[in-house]
Amino acid sequence: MGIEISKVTKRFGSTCALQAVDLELKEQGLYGLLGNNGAGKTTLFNVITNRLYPDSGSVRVDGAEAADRDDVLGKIYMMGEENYYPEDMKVRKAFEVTGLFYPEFNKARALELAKQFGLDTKKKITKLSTGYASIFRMILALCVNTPYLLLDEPVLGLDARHRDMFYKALIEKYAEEPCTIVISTHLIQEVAHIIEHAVVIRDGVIMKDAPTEALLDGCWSVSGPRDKVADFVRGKNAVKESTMGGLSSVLVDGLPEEIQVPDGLEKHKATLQDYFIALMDKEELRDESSRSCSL
Amino acid sequence: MNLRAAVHYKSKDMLKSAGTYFIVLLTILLAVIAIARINVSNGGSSYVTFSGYTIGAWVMMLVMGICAIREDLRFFIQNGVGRRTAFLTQWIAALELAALLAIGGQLFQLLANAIAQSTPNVRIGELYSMLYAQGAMSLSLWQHVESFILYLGFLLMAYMGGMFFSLLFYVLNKTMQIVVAVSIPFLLFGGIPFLWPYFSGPLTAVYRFCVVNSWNLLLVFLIVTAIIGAVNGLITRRIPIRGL
Repeated sequence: MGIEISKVTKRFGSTCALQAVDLELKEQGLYGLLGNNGAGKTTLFNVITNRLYPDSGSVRVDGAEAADRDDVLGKIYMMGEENYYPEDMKVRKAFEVTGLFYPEFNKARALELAKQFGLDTKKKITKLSTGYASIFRMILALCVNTPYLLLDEPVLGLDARHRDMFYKALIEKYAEEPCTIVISTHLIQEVAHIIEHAVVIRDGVIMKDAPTEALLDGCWSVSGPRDKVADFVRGKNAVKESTMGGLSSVLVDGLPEEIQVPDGLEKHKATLQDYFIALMDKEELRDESSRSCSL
Repeated sequence: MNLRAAVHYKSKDMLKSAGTYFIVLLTILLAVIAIARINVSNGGSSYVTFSGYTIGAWVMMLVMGICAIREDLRFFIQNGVGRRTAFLTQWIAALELAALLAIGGQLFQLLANAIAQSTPNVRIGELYSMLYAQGAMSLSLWQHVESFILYLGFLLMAYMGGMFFSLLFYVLNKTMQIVVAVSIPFLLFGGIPFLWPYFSGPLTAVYRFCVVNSWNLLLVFLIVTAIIGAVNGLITRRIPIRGL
């Protein structure tokens, strides 16, 4: 059970947004869909929710084909960056009509959250600022109570306080009514402590799909004087190096926890963001070298 | 299926639209009567005629078809309603609005007849009465039934037509949108007169078929509606649904 994405390919002209994507999003879990701009995150969400048809491949939800089936689509709620509500619809009206389509929608909770976030429910949705438009969509997502929740850049335009409130509300919701939540975001550092499973996508290809802990297992950041760091990492899987003056910091993958670093060096557990940047840099280098080889 | 929820949501819009239309038309009708009475009281003898109900309703259905589909597709897909259900909802909603306006048409005809009794210099005619009842202001029950069914087909065709243009402009790229936008008036004002000699035969045959009785005209409306509706269905099946 869960969402099974099999061999999904989607092209836009000459751009291949998704290339034979295989992915399984299990029931109940907090997933992070991480990728650079144009990696295919939104396209993947759009294909799952039938906003876009894939050129090939299929999406199954709880074992049933998702394409154009109300009973299946009704299990998924996608909070996107764009507005899908009528231009003249007010926030309060949107809360009312959402209940028609999602019987589990908690209107009282939605109004409570609107009050907490300072969202004016008498305002037209299209008149809301970028931040409040995100808050409006986020409130709907948190209150529809569907088994699957896809959040595409949920904190777009939100200030630090509102972002913090959002993450708290999200964790609260997940604790009270566990479901599958997939968060697609650029702000990796902010979601790193929330997500249990990370899916890294690049150029429409899934690069990594593993529990966050497993992904970062053996991934350490070693820093200190440049020469000392270079000596230490020699022969090890150094995935990213950054230097500043005489100091250097290297991200090493596959380093056992018990290995001690020499005096003068420091060893820290790598963060998800460090890991992500290192992975993207490595892939960028690989692309560049393959381009120069083909020339 | 979310059909019930979708229809419930859409019905409110349709009722509101029909209500607004009735109010506007009633205001116009009252203005027409007032003009006629003033004319008589000033010693005038000219007739005041009004026959805009059905054509007005047709234009309204066309505009509703143009405006509603994109907004509805977006809203429904956001709320877990599939394309097939969204499309079916359009048909049901269009039928509902067409039925309301067609019933309104009959009431309008009855009202016109009542007004004609007290204000003889007012002539209020409707499409059916002008085409198939020699402009009679008083229609029999059966004629009302025929007229209702004819308007239903006529208005449904307008909605589907509007929806077709909306979907067409949604799927076409910028260049093609300009080409189509330029082609429509060109075809209407330049193309049809130019092509008339070539197509006058079949078009005259269709015209002769339609004027025989209202059922023939209804059949033509239904065929056109079915064709446009099928094309709309095919477009709706695969178009990417983007937000604002």
